[in-house]
Amino acid sequence: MLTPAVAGLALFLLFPLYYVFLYSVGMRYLEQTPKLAELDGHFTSFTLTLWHDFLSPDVYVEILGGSSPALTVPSWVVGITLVALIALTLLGTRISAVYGGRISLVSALVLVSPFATIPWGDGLLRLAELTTSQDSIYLRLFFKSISMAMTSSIFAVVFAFPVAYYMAFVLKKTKYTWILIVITPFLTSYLLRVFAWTIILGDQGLVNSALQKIGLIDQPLTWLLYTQFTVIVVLTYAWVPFICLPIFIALENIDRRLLEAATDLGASRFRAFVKITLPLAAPGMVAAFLFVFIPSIGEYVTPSLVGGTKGYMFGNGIQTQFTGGALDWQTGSVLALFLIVVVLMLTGATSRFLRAGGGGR
Amino acid sequence: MSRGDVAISRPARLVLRVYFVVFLLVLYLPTALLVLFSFNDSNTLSFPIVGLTTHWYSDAVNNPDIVDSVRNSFQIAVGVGIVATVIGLLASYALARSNIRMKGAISALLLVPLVVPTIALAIALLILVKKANLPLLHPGLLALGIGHVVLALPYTVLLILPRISNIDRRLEEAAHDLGASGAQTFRRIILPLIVPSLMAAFLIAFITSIDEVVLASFLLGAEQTYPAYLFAGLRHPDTAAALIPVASAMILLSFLTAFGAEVLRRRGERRLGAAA
Amino acid sequence: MGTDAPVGGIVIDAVTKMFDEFKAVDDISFEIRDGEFFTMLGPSGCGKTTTLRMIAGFEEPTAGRILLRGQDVTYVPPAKRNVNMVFQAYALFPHMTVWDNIAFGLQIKKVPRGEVGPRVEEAIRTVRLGGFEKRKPGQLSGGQQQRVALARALVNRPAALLLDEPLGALDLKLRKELQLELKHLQTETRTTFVYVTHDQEEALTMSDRIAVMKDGLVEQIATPRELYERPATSFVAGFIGVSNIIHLRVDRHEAGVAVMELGDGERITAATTATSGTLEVTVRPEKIRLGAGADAGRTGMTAVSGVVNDVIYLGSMTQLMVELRTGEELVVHRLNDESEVDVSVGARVVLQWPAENAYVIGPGRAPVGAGVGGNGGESAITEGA
Repeated sequence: MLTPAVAGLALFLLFPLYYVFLYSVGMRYLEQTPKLAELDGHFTSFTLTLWHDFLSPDVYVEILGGSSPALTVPSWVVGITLVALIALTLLGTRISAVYGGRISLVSALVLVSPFATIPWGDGLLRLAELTTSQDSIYLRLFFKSISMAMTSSIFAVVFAFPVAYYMAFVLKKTKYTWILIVITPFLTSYLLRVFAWTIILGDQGLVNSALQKIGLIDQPLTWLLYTQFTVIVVLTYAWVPFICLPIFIALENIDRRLLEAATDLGASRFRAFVKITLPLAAPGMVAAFLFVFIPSIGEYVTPSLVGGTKGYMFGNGIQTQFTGGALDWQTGSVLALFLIVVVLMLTGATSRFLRAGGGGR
Repeated sequence: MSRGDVAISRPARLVLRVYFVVFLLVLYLPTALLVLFSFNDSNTLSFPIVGLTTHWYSDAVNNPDIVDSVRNSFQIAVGVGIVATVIGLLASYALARSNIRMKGAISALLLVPLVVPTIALAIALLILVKKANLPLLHPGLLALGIGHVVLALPYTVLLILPRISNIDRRLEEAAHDLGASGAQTFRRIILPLIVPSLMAAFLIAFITSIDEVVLASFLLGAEQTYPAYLFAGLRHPDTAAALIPVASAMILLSFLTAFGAEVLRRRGERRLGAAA
Repeated sequence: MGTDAPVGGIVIDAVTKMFDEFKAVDDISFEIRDGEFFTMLGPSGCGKTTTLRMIAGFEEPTAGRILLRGQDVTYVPPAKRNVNMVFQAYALFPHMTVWDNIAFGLQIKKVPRGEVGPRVEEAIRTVRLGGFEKRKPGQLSGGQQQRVALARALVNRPAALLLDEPLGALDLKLRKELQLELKHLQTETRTTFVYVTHDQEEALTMSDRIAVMKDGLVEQIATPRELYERPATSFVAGFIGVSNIIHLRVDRHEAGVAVMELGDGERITAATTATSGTLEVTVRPEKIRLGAGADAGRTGMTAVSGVVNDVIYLGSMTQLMVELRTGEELVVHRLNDESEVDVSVGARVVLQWPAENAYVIGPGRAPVGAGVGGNGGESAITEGA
């Protein structure tokens, strides 16, 4: 009885992915139309040139938005550092029972800092920035995507937490109805929910019209639409209802007697919240973060609709290689495969959080 | 002491309540705006509202491109719903009830489409349909339908498998004990108990397909689905106004299906709960 | 009753069941007679449920045969066996009404429509569930669900009804009621009941014969009374009721009574043929008398002193823990209307029992049972065919 599922996935999932791999190592596998053959790569036998081109350019770390490169590092150093930081974050508690939590937290912050962004007007505020030389646009685009995905995930968790907290601790009998109301928008047309933001953020949209009417601005704020800012806002908006759920479940599973015990022992509500609620809800919040972060890295629809050229993400880069202007299937395959590998590794490394967060479904 | 009191003070609760209301308003604001603009008598999607009209709706109904794409979308979504549910049911039953080897590997394989980025799956399938020269597989509705089944399969398995696993094995033994064959047991005991989750699985697969745009924008030929048509149109704001009415209707429809799927899922839980 | 009927009943013939390395049932053989209430009793993991499931057909024996009314059914699937099971927690079909649950077996077997109705109604009447036909299992109490499970099995008129701890999920009071009801039902329908339980009291109340099992082996098969009064092993003695096991060194043997002399005129006695060695002896708590009675000096009467270590009030009686001078501790039950002896903790008391109330376990037991009735007098295990 498993045959249809296994055979179907083998033929329509694993087999095509194998094709992607063949393309990414320079092998034009089968007959091509003459036009495509002309445009499409230069290799017919196994080569890692495309991977090398993609991964080897110089990488800079810029601190506090400095325009000139503060630190130039070969990409393999960056790679090793990132892997080490990820390992420390994930395994901190196994390295040391006492300091493990702090090791994890610190390495997570170091890991996040080059990517976390505060979108502000036309520009972006970054503590540090991981970037590359101009000629390696795809790795640069990848860092940008990681950064945008990470920022919107953090915002989504921050905005969802109070909602989940309210539903778990204040609402009583009606809470499951309200959850349904919160989550329903997530299940409706993604395309339209994204598109609707052009009505809100456009030059003559809701926000600009309102601000002009009350006289705060004369000219419409043009950076509201078709920038990284827009993509981050819209990604946050699109995922917030969904991740209320894992956070809610984490909060709902907290034994209320623990809080009673804490207050009984003299802790204020705030201290009980910081010392008990937050640590116990943390795995659920991490899961929520990952639920947004992982799919957002490869996001394609949102930047296409509201990102303009400034808001392009890695997914758009891949699309360009296949149906857009560039039409280089071999480079496109390298990008796609790289994305798959990163996402699968991320999923594998964090699976215990994902499982903990998905437990309620 | 009521449980709310320990966690939260009265002023904090008020602040949270205000936040919650604002949150819900913002959450539903974009959808509300779409519906509003579907009646706006203007070619541009901008404020202020000019006047009310229903001509966008009558235009949409008379536009063969829109009508065809909507029809295509429904056909694919219904097909995907049925196929993904049936395959998911078979796989779930096998995983829940037989002691096959490699169970872990197969379960993992079934969930892979959840994590593979859709854009990567889209280009993988694009290479397959364009370069593999498989019979019947050309860019078009069939290829898209296959892709949607791959996307929807993990959801149907995730909905059906736990329900089957939750059915007490002794119910099946009791049926065998009373003389029922394997097929009779499946039809008369298992199937009635999982009907709600089958319907939920169908609805989820249906929603997955009818709203899917990434695969659609790569795998389709001349014939379009509604999301693909919409996606192409929305990227050019000057044509967008004409697309809003059907979009609003689709949103309402997907609200209803989403709600229905959730209600069915819960009913299924209750039905099994009563067996305890 | 079909005692000794050649084709009757269920025969378990040298059956072994392995789960991987674990031997759940270890080469057991016995016969269940047609029409009897047969119980397999033992602690969890003793193999009783596995044996029942092999009779039902849900497990295949690793070795051995199972005969049902003379026919080898060892490899016949459950659907084709004329036995029906009442499951632990009932396994009622939650989506069907009471009526549909009971009719299920008949419908599957293609019993003519005109016959199904009357048979289902009869079954409903037998288990006194009239008026509940249209309810779903979820709307019934535990006891009612239990009755539906019984009716669902009985309506098929099985050669034997297999019951796997059917009362386990119910509270004590309801369990007591249903025990009697089950026994009535069995007598009324003259169906063979094969019952599995770990509750010795339940087994004693209902069964015609009981097989006590431990670690995949049958320790003893006997009537309830014989099990209680003449346990074949110390495990049976311990499992059925409260056991007092003492070791008796045979110092003297006279007139079928072994005597252990403890000095100061104190002695322990037991009726036995053994004339030497040390015996394991069990005495039921209620058979021990406190204080020196009129027949204290009689030959074969035990008289042993001890110190009361504990006094536990149990309502109608009091339980004393008395430590003998041999160092062994005995449980003694006293009805609360006899009050002639002081029984506070630390008191020194004299215990008495006639030799025939002390039962010797295993080899060396008394040749003639004192007032053992029923049909289980012979040695426990019937050899397989």
